[in-house]
Amino acid sequence: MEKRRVMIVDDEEHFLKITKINLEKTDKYEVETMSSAADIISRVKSFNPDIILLDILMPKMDGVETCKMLNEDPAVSRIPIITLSALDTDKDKLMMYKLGVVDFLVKPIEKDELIAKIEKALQFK
Amino acid sequence: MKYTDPDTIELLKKYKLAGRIRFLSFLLLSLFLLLMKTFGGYSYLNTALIALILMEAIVNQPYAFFINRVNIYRLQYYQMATDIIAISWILYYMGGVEAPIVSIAYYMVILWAGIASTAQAVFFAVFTSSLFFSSIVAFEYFGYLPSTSHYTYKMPVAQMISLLIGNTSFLFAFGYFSSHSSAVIKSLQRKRQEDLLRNTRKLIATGYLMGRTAHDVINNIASAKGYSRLLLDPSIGDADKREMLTAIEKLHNRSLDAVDSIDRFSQESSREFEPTDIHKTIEDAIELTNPIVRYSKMAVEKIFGPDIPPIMASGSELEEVFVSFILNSHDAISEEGKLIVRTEHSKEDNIVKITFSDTGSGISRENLKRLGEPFFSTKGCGEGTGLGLATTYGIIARHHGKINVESTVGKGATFTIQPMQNSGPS
Repeated sequence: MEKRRVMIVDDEEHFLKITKINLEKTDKYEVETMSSAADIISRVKSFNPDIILLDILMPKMDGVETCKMLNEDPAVSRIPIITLSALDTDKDKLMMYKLGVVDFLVKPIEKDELIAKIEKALQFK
Repeated sequence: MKYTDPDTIELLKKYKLAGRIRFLSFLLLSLFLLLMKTFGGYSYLNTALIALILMEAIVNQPYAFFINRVNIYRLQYYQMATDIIAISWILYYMGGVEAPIVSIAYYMVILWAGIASTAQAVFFAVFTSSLFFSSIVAFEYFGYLPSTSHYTYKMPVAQMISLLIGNTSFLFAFGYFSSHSSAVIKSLQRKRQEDLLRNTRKLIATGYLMGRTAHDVINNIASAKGYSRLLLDPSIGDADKREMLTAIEKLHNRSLDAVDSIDRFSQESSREFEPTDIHKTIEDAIELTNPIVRYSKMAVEKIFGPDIPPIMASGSELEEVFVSFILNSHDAISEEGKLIVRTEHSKEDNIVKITFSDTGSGISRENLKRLGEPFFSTKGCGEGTGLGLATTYGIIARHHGKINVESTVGKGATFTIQPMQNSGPS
């Protein structure tokens, strides 16, 4: 079975490392990580992910700005995005849906929940 | 007229209380005169006098009604003037200098002016009381007013003049005592309010920093948990496991440091002066605010001068000041911006200069003038996270230093602190 490509954008190096190992262990995913969203468009175009896991609270360029930028580029705007954040108020959730994300995960994230949400999002792709 | 500044609101409270006290004292005086009349004391025009006192007492009450309609500072002068006129008439009807007990009422007005108002109000009360008392006694003595005296004895002019001088001197001495003692009480009250405000602002800053630190600590714990689970996985190699154990230790230490610095910041600052490494204090403040600054558009640059000697200071108080400056700059920078923290040492003057210069929104000329006011803030309720500049000014003044502010709206602000070296607290 062809592996699904997952791109994770988060400033937390340990989170990136743990999530990459956990996803790759399943043998279903090929994972690419980015610690900042600075050159996300070119990286997305070159890696061509099936799904993007995007942290909201990041230095310099945050997840909201990144999401808007991805939505504006027709070449990448159809890629489903799951946001990762510690923000979990109703206002935050509404904001994330308005950004067009397919789902969101509240940190700290459990491995099984992460995989379940990725699978669900990929079903509709 | 709606008053919003705390000084006037405080004055209004005292004003209303003083109005009630005055009402009661006039009522008691009326009762006293009524008793005097009943038991055959003064009989001359007593009914008219009681009516006058009651009228004054009643007239005094609606002042509270006028408070929100006229200028309170002007109103208190009208009130004092009417009080003094009423007291003077009572004094006259009761026999002028033969009724010294009534002149105590003048002292009550002066005392009230000292407690509820300013030194100028005290001077006004003293001057008006002396003028009216002296005029009544002199006019009666020289026959311009009909005599209310019950005795035929007429004192010599010299005695009358010395009585007036003596009374005026007493009134002025009492006025001096009243204004000075009330100034001490007011300054103590203000100090208490400022301490309370400082503690409240520090609590707000601590809460703000704690929220972001907690977020970081939760992330660290979650990562440590993730590594722990992976360590149980037999498919992970030994080299990777060793790396994960090192990472867990780092996460543990990072969390401890974050909690330790917020714990240190939240405690009451030590006011003891000791040799303080200014660069370490700045580093600590930057580290403490890092969970907030890291996610902002503000970059922090340090330009530390060479050979900066330790300065005699309270390190924890200076850290509060630096945290406050960093948070203020963070609030002022909405787009990409920079905060430059610079230290310099002048060997000739033995002065250490610390500068916080940001590229934020800046401060307007009107607001620059008001920066030292304890309750002044350009931020809405719950928006400000710093300690407030009045508090930071106070801390630096205790270090025999001063804060100089330069700012251009839209270009940023520069705060320069100059704490003197090798000096104790003031």
